[in-house]
Amino acid sequence: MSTSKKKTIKFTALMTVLILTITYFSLLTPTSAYFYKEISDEGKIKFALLEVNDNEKILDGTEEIQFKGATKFADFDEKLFDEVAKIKEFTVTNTGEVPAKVMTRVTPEGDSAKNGLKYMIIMSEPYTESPAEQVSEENSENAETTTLPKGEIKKEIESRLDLFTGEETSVEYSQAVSKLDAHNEITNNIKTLNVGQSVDVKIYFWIEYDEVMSAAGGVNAWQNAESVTSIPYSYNIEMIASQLSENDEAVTEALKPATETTTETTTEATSQ
Amino acid sequence: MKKKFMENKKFRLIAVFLITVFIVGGFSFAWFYLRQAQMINSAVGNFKATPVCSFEGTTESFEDADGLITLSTDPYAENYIGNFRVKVTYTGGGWSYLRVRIVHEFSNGTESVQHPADLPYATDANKWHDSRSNDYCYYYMEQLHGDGEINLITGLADGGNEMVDGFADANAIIKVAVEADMVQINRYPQVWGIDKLPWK
Repeated sequence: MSTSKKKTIKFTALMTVLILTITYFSLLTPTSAYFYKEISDEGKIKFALLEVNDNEKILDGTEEIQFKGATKFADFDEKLFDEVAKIKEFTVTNTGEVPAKVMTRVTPEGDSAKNGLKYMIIMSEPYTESPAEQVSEENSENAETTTLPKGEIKKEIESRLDLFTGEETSVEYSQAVSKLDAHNEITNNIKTLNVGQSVDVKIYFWIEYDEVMSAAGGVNAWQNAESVTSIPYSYNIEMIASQLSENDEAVTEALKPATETTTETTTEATSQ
Repeated sequence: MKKKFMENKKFRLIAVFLITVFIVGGFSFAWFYLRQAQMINSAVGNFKATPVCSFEGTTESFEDADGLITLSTDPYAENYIGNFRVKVTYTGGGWSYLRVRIVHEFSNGTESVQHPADLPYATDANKWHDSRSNDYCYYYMEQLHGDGEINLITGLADGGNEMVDGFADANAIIKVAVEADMVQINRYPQVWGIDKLPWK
């Protein structure tokens, strides 16, 4: 085959691939977030955008905080856990035009996890209107006691992880950590938001006492110690919103026609 | 002569193709994916408290080898009880509660006894809770963190001089040990063994 013919074939093949690529991205399947087809008599094709919180930043930059102390989440008697825990809260609202998958992720940096940084991600169920605030009922039976009541954060952590069942007041630390890690698995912190829906995200942070003591050189190097020390931590909080795949239930629901319009024609039978 | 890179038609086409793919793919991807992130820098720290004992009007400490401070019942002595001063210096990034244990040792020269330390020292009652009858301790009623200095004993309160006169009549020799103790704000039940803070 002559050189010019080879060149022609190659050129043609290249242009074909180019055109096919552009065509593919321009005419993606109807279930993508790029565009979808409205099922109607007019057969419109609509460009739809993924957007949360009106594109306002809810997580941005760097924040500096100080933990007041270390604590133990797996200790049933650790009543003052809430005094030294930190909370990060924000709300994600789907302000776009297509359903979105929202994921929350925390990534400890450096030795933070090794030195005792722990966290728990809690995402509410998606809602359209803000749920009414629940007023906690005071337990009148405990009104007269002098023992310390457990804080709400500690109680919620114990409850969600099911740390103490029945009459048990102790749990193996490794078992508790496994439950915490399983809870924080990425698949547990993904919510699907239909257009207009919101989800409340709450992340509890704390420093695990035994691990920070180990990092500092022991309990005696911490309390009433000869020298003052400070253990640094850093971690990244991410909120990621993405399109849904064609297999997601929300997409299927979104593509169902709200009403099916049909034109009926009736023919009156006339008899003469 | 070799054609320059950009003069070669084939390479120009490949370049255009790749640029097109990246642009189209990049725009499409941006429509499919949004990300926000925040970096949190934090720390947790320990703390240290040191009692500083002195006598007003002198730099001598009157502290013996075993760390006990001798208090005199003679109003004209440099180490007269009424001249006794105690303050606490603290440092550290952690948040803590502070208590100061003051234990007096009374002797008549032949035998020593520990005595409930109810000497009426002058303190700031709005800041310090006197729990000496329970555990020989004054408790500071606020959480502390950072660097600072707090006065505890600033002299004798009302009735103190009369009590000291009684000790003098008994030829009592008084020694005192002062110890500062800090604990994380959430760990006092475990470390101090108390269910609630004494002033609450």
